[in-house]
Amino acid sequence: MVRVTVENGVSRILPQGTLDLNAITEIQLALEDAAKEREIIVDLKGIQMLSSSAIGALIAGHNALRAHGRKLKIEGASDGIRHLLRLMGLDRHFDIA
Amino acid sequence: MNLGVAHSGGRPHVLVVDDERANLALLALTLRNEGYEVSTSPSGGDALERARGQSPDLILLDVLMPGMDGYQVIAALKEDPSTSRIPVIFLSGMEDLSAKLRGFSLGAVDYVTKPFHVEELRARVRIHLQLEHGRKVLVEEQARRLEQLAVAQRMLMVRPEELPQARFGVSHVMREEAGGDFYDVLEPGPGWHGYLIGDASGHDLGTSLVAAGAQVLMRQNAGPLWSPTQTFALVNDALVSWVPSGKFLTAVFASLNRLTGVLQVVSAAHPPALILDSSGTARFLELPGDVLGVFHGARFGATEEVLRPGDKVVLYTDGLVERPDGGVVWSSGLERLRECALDHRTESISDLPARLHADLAEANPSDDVAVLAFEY
Repeated sequence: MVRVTVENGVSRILPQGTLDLNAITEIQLALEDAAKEREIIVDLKGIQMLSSSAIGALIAGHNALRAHGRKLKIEGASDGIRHLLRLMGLDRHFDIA
Repeated sequence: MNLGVAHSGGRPHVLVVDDERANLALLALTLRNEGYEVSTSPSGGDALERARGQSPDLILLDVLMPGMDGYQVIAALKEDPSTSRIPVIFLSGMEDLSAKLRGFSLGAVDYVTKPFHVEELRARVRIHLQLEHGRKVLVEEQARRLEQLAVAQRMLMVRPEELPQARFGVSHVMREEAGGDFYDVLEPGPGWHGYLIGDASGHDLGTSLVAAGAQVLMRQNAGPLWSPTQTFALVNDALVSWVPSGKFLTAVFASLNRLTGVLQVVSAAHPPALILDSSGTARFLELPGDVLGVFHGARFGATEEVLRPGDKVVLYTDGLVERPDGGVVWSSGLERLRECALDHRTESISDLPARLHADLAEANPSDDVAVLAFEY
């Protein structure tokens, strides 16, 4: 499941539970859709792990944001996910809080 | 004339549907004189049955018929996967635009107004049979090319017995046709070996295409001219323009100079290589770096080590260390891999990958797994 809220001009994307292919597609679409107009935060506090397809969706979303001069922001990542994002060099591209 | 559309070498088969007998006879005669095989049908319901049973190459369909009209027939044809690809040309006395547009919107390929001119009808039928023939050839050609690519990908996976001086073993299980794991072992010069393992994200045809492409690019760009890091940079630049959005690759490339024992390792966001040294310790080479195929000017993690005789290096894909629920938080699986590798450290290099695979990957039987180990 993926929840999207907009507050003070910032979209917050909150995936929860297990990220199946539908949820991943939803995240990618939400990211690409919001990228045009506003800041985006992906809040991973409801997520225990990321599949490679989910990481692909985050990267695709980041690239959509980058086309508009913005960066993907990640919040609420567990230590394990944080470690993974660092190993994958994505901490250099995303803004990880 | 023989267009050889559907049945190899057979005549193109046209189904003609019209409730007026005189029309039906004239249409059938006209088309038979062209050399086509022609079936006729006097009603919509009967036409549907024939279309399903005979798979004609083209249907000429009258719009105004008692009972099921032409619009209903084409809707039913498009609904059924066994008939949905058959091109349909509408025949009607109605000249108005909206009737034609309705036919096109339902999936007709063309429209012939009655009373028709024989020459025009012949020309339209011929061109649509040719287009259908071309479409079939194209689809077959594309499928054949993809198949060739899959075969080529498997052929590119060099077996240990083909390159014994590279002293490596491998365990590679492709669970799916569209797997993304690949490995390669190169010998750019005497006493010099390159070991590659990689993983394209996702589980579809695009994934295996990306994997095969990356493997070919690595072969083209790994050689005496380039350091492993430069090789990755070149491969990355070629891939960025080519890898679809939402996909990426991770990979590790290790280059070993057997004269000096110098090992250079470069990683693109891949699970860390394991060094199993002959004194009985095992450690990971954690090399944070960018993924392949996404970022221009990507940076990769690289290091250099000096190996001692008997040291082993294990490269693998994430299927070996993933948790069974499919996440890629590797850290949890890494410790198990380290312990398992220590348990099996006296195993021969040809058997080590299969041992690790058997001990670790059974928890996650749905994923591709590749394990490549080599010894100095």
